[in-house]
Amino acid sequence: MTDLTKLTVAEARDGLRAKTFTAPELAEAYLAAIDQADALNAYVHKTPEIARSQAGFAQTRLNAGMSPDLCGIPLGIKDLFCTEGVPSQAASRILAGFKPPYESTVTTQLHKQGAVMLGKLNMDEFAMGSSNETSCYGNAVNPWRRGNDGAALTPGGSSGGSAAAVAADLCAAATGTDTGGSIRQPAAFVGITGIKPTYGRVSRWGIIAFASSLDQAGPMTKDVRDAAIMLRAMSGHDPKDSTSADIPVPDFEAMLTGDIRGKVIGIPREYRMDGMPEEIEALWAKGREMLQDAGAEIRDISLPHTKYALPCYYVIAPPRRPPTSPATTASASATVPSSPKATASPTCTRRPAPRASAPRSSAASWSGPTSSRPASTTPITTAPARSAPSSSATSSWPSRTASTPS
Amino acid sequence: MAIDTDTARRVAHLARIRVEEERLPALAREFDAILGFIEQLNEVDVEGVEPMTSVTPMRLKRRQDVVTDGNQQDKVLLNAPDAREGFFAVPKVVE
Repeated sequence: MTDLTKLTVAEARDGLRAKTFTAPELAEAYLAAIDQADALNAYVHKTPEIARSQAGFAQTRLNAGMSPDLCGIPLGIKDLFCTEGVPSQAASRILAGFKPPYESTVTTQLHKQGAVMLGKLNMDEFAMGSSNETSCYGNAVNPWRRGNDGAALTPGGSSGGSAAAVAADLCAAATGTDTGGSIRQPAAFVGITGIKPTYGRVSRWGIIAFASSLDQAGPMTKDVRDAAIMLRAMSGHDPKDSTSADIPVPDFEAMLTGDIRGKVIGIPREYRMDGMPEEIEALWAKGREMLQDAGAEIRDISLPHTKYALPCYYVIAPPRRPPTSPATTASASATVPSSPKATASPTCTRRPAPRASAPRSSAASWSGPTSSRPASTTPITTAPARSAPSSSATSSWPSRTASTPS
Repeated sequence: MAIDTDTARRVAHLARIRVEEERLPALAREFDAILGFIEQLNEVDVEGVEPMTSVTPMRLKRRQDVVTDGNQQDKVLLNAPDAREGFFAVPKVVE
């Protein structure tokens, strides 16, 4: 049998419905893979008992022919989501031991569909960070390596555990959250698909807040089809979140016709920044060309307020790193002095942090949109994990890359 | 508008955040940066622009002012480090 953990959500769904394999078999394949990948520090709370019980229940639904898209599909859940009876601490010591007596709306919807929760995923503390290096659980590690260099690379952040888990086939798909790039940037760093949905599309209820006017949960998946499937399951109006949009949720997957002939696509000139590296310029040109070749009409447009986006962000979201000051905020370190007592918390210290990677090395880890899903069979438990694929993988870009560039 | 070290010290005190003396200048610069952002936003002409509830056209939902939930004292106190007689218990902070 093929390696079940390599399947996309859509492939796994079809295999489950065709009874090629069962939901418990699928869950066990992932649970075994997770236990061999502790070096990535992607999972911070494993929930094998929940996974097994949900997989069993999903199978009875599948047997009865009642199988929503996600029935029996094993997912990883970012630690920012409150999950009933399961530690949910936003990668912070402050919430050590917190087990919510309730379930977030997003995870409730996923569970109703029959999704299987494998565990909680690493992230930056309270989602404040872009490299998953501020987590109380220690760094999450990117399953990719830079050529033959064994140095651990960041998976990005704040949804770094979600990104690492999806890229390393430790879940079929994962939930992430995005306030100022926390889904899109880590998805890019590991070469998977991530979407920050339009604000209001997904309920924020039960998700620990960062900046309430910007936070959105979204899918992190192996390809665009999976993102469409996950997004549909996560979306919808929720009376418990008055900012969630009361707009019907379309079947996003059915909209993936692959036909963009006649669509008009604007490219804002403000998005092209001075001093952009040549390889990025080349990728922009290539993306434009690909869209044109597929029959879309490209128009150069202007979005003159673009320059105010960052000031708005720093006013609405608590400033993490004002551009004028590279240091992290003085206030944060002043409010939470690390006391020896606090570090003794077993929930935080049981996973020693892997060797910290230089934050700047991350750029090199992303070999651009040429990164298709890691396909090497090298086990990720040992140091020289996966090397980036050669540029011959370029042709797989349209189906395998992040759908939300810049 | 520039935030000086004294103002930073005062803001930190009001927020009950301990900031070491040598870190105050850096904190003042960060405050300054944030005020700079707000200043920059003042340039934008928003005359006649309707405030938005969301990026899609929508009104904020209202609901009936009725009780929809309750009787969950045990669950509410489940994560309390200390609870007594149905209340959260905290160390005495007022003399």
